[in-house]
Amino acid sequence: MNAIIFLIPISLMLAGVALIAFLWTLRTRQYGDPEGDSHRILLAEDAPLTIKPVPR
Amino acid sequence: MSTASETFALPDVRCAGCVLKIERSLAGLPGVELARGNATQKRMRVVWDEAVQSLDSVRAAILGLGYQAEQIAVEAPVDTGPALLPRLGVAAVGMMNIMAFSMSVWFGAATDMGPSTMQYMHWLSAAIAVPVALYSGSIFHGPALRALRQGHMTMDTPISLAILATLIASLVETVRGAEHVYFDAVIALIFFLLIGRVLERLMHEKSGDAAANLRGLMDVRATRLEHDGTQTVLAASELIVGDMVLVKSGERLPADGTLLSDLVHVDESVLTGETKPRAAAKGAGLAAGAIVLDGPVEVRVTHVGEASEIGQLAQMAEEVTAHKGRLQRMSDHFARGYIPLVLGGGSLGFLMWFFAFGASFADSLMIAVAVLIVTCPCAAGLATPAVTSRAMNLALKAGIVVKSGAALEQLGDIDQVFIDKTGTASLPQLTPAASLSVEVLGAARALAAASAHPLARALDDGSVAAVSNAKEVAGQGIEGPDGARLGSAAFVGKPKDTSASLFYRDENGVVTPITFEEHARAGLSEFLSSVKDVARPVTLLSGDSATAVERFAKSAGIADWLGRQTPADKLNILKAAQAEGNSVMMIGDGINDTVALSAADVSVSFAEATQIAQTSADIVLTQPDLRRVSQAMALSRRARRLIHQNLTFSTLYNVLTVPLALAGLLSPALAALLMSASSIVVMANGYRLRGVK
Repeated sequence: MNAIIFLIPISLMLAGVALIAFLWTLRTRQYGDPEGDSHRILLAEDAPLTIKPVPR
Repeated sequence: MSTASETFALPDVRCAGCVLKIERSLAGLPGVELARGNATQKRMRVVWDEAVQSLDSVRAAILGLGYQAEQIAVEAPVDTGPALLPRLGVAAVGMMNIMAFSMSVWFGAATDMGPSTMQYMHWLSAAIAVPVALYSGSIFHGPALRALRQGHMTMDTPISLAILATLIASLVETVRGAEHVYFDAVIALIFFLLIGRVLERLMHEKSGDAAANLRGLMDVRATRLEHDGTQTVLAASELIVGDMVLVKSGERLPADGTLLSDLVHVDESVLTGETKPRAAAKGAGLAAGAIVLDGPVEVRVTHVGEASEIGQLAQMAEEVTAHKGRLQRMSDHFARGYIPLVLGGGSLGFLMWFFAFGASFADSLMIAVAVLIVTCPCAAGLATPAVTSRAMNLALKAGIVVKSGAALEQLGDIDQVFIDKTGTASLPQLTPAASLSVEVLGAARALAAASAHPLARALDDGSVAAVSNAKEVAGQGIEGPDGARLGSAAFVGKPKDTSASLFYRDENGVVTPITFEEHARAGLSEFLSSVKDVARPVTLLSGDSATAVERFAKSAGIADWLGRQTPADKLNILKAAQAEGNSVMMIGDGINDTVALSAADVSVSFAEATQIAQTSADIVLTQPDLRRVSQAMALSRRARRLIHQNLTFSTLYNVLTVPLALAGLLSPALAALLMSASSIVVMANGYRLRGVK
């Protein structure tokens, strides 16, 4: 039974992370253009890879 | 480096791919720093370096890809009250966790959970429930509190009270170390009510505001010609009567005005629903919102803003909308009468048990809360939406977009149907009459192919090569090298002939009137006959000439018709029919139908209709097939039967459970369970509705 003393707060913290993630998607307006964004990921060209010069 | 930015509306973009295509193409232009489109709103924001690009060059680039681009002033976001989604998210996470604790308490009570573990669960639940009930529940507490300060009560009052009372009672029970707490019921109640609110707001935002959309048409930039010959770009709202403006091709007129340039063609489809461009001669009046097809033209402003034709349409639409809001007020009135009963029942329960029967404070409070919860008219509130939302989904699958539950209910009640002609009962495209001889048609088409006049465009089907060396007299007609003429009655030498608007004279001087035929929309005759079974015969209302309306009505089998109807005429006819106690349906597609569409009890439009007709209509058909209207009406009648059953059930539920709660036979948890169960029964009954055949 002692286990739940720790496990419940841990599960609550995980739920909190999910909630914060949801609030973040709201704040960054990720629901503004559902149609465009769903196509953008398929149709938009990839950004060119920026390869950092290897330090010698 | 100075940059400029502009937001464009892209009205004829059909898919997200098109938006991305424009985006990519613009981003490839030199000097364009940002091109970001929104496919859902059909808008694009472009930022460019003024040294390299100009507003015109950016617009030309979009036009070059084959899309219309209209500058729009970006309106400030409308304040729709406190944000619902974060509150819903918080309530969802809170509910999941409290449910987990409650479940373990329920199962643990039957097995071996010790009292200390149970209290640990209760305290954890309380720690989550209190902030969630205050934050997520603020949607109800706020309005309830504001109303209370002014001495009113709203539908939010008992909800807010039940939330707070249950929360406080549960807290008291937790402190006392009692066995039953009701945190799960509080948070679940908030969660489900918030879902309802979110859906409601989405529906409201989608239906839009016809008046605002009409005004949006005037929300363009105007180019004013100054006396010294320079040009100033300003917002259309800053124009005054007497200003001279320059309108380029493809632009909307910023205000009503008189044409100062020579002949021009304007697309007035947003105003009249007429898809054929109109030729306007020097001195003719042009209306704001119309698109100039072959500019640039100079226009002297005669009416601006609200005084313009479109502004007056917007005012009419506004008045009608205000009138429609009466239904909402009626439900508020109902709430005002019902809520004191709910609160009275709750306090009666408390007083009766605390004073008369000598129960403890906590027990009496629990009885009062049970009464508050069971009297919650949730099942009654769901009775209608449970069926209408199901019906709206079924309709959607059949290509019928129903925008409000109220419209769906009314649909089964329609006594009289009015239908617009051009573009609604008939197809927008005209074809030459079948009675014309092949020789005449061929020769006329050869001339027509050389002209850009709208009537010539309707005649020319690309089957005949254009006559070379044809001479066109603007606004009159076109003459071939052999002397054959195609044009107005005066142009072919028959100024008194009004049998047609287009004539052909062959090289020998024989004149043939070229008449056009309109074709009925798919499903018109089936629709007419199905309406006959349930309502009065359909009436055709059109802005077209009386003869054209009569000809079409007779060929389509419509007995009642009225031609030359202005938007105000249409509105008056509808209002007269409504004054006689009829429930009226209007089917239309143009801006000239907008006011009638808003005034009708139920209005129908097509997905290919003007944007404004679509926003004012309650029902939009994705396929322009009028049989869908009959199907929607049948669906509505089936839905109404189920709504009736639901209302009977929910009334019975409240009549039976309230005495039980007052008698102290229901705990708040049982009351919440009954309330949920009654809601589920009502929802399940809604699911019995079958699809559109």
